[in-house]
Amino acid sequence: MNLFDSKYSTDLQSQITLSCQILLSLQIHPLPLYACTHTQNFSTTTAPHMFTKIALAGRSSRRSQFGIIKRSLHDVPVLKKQPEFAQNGIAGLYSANGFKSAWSEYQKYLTTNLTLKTKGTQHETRTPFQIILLTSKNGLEQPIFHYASQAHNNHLFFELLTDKDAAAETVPSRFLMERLADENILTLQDLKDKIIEAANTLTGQGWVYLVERGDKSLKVVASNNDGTPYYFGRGASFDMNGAISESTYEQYEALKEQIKEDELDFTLPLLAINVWDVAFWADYGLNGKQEYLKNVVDCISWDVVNQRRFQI
Amino acid sequence: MFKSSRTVSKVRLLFQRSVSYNLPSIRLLDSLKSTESDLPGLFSNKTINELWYNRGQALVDNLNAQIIKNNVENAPANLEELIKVSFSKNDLNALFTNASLLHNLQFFLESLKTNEDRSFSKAQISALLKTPSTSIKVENAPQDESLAEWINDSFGSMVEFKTLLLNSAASIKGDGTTWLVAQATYSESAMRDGASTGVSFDTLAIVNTYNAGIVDDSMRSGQVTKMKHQKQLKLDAANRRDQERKEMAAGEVQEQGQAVEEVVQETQKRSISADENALGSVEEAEEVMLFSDRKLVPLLAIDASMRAYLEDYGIYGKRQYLENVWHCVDWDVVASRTPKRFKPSMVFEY
Repeated sequence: MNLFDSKYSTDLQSQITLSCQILLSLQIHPLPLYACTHTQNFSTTTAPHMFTKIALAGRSSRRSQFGIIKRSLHDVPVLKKQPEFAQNGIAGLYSANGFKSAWSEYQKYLTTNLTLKTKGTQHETRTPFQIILLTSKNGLEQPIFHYASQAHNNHLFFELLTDKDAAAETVPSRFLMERLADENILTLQDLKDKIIEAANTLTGQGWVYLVERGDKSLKVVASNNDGTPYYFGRGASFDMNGAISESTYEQYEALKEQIKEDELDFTLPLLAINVWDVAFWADYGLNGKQEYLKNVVDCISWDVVNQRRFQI
Repeated sequence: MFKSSRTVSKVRLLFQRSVSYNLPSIRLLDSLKSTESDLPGLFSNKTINELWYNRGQALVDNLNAQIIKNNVENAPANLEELIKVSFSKNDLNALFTNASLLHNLQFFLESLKTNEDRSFSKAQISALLKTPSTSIKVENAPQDESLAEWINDSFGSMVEFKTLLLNSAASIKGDGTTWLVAQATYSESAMRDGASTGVSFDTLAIVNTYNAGIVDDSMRSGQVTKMKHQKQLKLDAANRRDQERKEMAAGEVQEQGQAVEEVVQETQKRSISADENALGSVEEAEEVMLFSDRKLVPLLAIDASMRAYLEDYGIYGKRQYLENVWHCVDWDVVASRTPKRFKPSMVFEY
């Protein structure tokens, strides 16, 4: 791993807190770097001999101004319990084959495509997360955005998953529950129901996120297709295929206004649920969405969610 | 209490009988189902079952449930008519979505034929790195001469058409359908044959729709503009009234001009929400309705959603799937859907 080797990450974190301005001038948003640390998709495990091995830090640390920027292939990140999952699947959710399809193969598909789309462009040395931020405002870069967003989201999702028994031992932190109470979500079961309800508002493919907004409030949101939680302009939260309601129209108008005024978005995802067919077809069949949703909310490690809260 | 609930269920039963939908029958798929065989060259038997018999039935069930839930009376028996009447009503959105998804899927599956020369298997990751073929020979091209000619005139050549069609389908990442459509322009049609009311189709085009999207954009487009107009009309009506009030008020109390201004502003805000029934002029209404000049008629649909290829072609297999779809298109069906082509007797080159 390059950017987040321990020696660089401490350096980075002190930079985040000490000099936000420097980071801003480098066009790297100080907040989302946090999320970057646990959604790294770069790996040097694939054909490292093809590329010079020098740290990426030249981009963000002034110390190595003359560092050569390293280019690597996007590859499937290694999950904490990868060997166990690959052999036995995730108890209560995936068989070994289901895990292989939804993670190993699909993630390989996304990262390979991301490499193909970004090679030779300004994005080729960037992490999927940086690519999301830099392409989300440009419709012409949609193909790149798609693969970056999907790869990042799917990693967010799979980092959460754990065996059903292990998941049952974890709970959302007190802080999280207090914030959720503001949204009228009083128990863990309420939250699970809310997640399933949000997933069912999607007509086609999509994601469900629990997000923490700039004002610390929490919200369960659903995004169509490759919608990202990081930028409101690409949240894809409504499907305009049918007749739109007046409230949707107003949301849409408000969104236009926000985009025009270049409003900053400090939203961070704490939890992501994959509601694409590819996440469940191997174990539950092409029509098995409901059964999958019922199981997936029971296999979330809330410890991971608790840690993702933005903390200084 | 008990009695009344029984009557309710009776009424519902009656409803169900009058407007309930069934899964449409598709001859080719039905025969494959009865023999439990694959669709040679495209789908395994399992995919046919999942894609059409299970998913299709689920869509039909949802549709029927929505009709009961919304108390839709006299729902048209024809799916296309149902889409037309439910499209513009926001409270029937779920009904429209299910009807449209079913229609799109049916439209795709109805234009398929078997092709014994093709086979399918799960693709490996190397499929993503495969160099596209540069061959200009197109197999399974339409035999119908007038259709082939129209395609050549609209897209340049058969191979260009095939490339554009399959690339459009490949570019759909979520759920969606790629369509070949015949296109007419209302204003041009009117200029051509002044007296007749029919539209004349002069071009073929390719259109992508996403999720439950529909092809006919004379229905689809302009809904945001429509909303905007409606809002503007309400605002104008409220403003006019407030202006009158202001004039009256100004005549009475000239000195308190500023105070009046504030009051007017406040009533303006209130009256916008209060005045729901403001009507625009006929002219305004026409302007609202005239959002699209195009008429599109679908000829061919290709389901580009993941669920169509995951089972038989795997995650990396979309390209192979699309290639096979091309080889399994029944062009006779497409030709039978094609409207009469308008061909100008003279072509003016500018």
